[in-house]
Amino acid sequence: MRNPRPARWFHAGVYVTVLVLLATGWWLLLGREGSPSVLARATGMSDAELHTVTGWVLAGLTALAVLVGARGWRTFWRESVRFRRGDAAWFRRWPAAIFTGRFGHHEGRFDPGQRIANLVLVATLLALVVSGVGLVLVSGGPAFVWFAQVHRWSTYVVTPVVVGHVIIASGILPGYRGVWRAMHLGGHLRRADAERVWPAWTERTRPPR
Amino acid sequence: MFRLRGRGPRGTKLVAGAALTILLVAGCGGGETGGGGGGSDPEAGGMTLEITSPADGDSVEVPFTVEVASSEELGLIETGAHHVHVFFDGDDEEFLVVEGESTEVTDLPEGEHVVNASLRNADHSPAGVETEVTVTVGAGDGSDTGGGTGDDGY
Repeated sequence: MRNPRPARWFHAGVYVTVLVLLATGWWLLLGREGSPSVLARATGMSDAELHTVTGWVLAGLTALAVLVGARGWRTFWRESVRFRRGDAAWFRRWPAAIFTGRFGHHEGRFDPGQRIANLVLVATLLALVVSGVGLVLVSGGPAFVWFAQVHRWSTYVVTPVVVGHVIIASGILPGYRGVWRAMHLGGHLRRADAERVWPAWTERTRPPR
Repeated sequence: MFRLRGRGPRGTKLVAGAALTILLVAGCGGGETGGGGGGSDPEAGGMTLEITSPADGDSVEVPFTVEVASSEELGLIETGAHHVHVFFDGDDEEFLVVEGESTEVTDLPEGEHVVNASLRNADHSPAGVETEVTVTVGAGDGSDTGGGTGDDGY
């Protein structure tokens, strides 16, 4: 099992809220306020209201993680900021490896691409939560303008990273087949999938014979 | 990511209670904070909103222009200014966003309708000021207010 249950549930809570926020946020960004989206019609709330309420839920999840997930965050941070010289070779082989499955070797719990994605996602989601809270608290005026700029530009950065993460995690790319099991249905990966994507971690966590 | 094993039942309850409190407060923290729906004082808190055209009881012909006036500066949302939501017959699920002083209505069935207007903060939350007029949309000669500096027409 790669990720324990609390981590999987936290991840699920985050991605459900983030998907709703991206859908409603981009709907508003594209000037569709006033024309209810599918989500707005389904919930009976305006897209702006739905976006705000869901944002508060994400903020609550973030606060919860900080309160009770300190040990997990330390592991996540430690494993995400580690980079070694050999990681450059991993990146060179990556474009072909997503189809062939022949990834370069790396020593981490996360592959080098995951580590960068982790850092970008955490930074941008934090910026979105903080600026979002700011937008609601001030409601308008000069400070609103500043928060809105941060919120907008963080959205531009986080969207392709989330889309890439979903594509990779879904396993539709042959090299990443099966990795979705790491965060769903008990978190049990097939050994072959784990060895292909996280070889050193798989070896380290192999149960003693 | 976190371990509840090793904490006693009391510790687990404290954590669960804190989590529930956060999520409940979070869920109640957004959404409409105003009075919601018609009946808000058009002069709440010193702010005012008025539909200057068409007048109450007017007969109009589609397309027609709705003009509003407010004590607050109306402008683009990204400038932090107030704006107005214009909707019809109390149905605030679909509305026109008015970031200036007028908007053009291009699609409204014939008959009597209530034109509602709600003053909004830049973050789309209600500012607590709403107003309305009743008009009759017909095919006859009405007080067509012509085109204005409309925002996103409907």
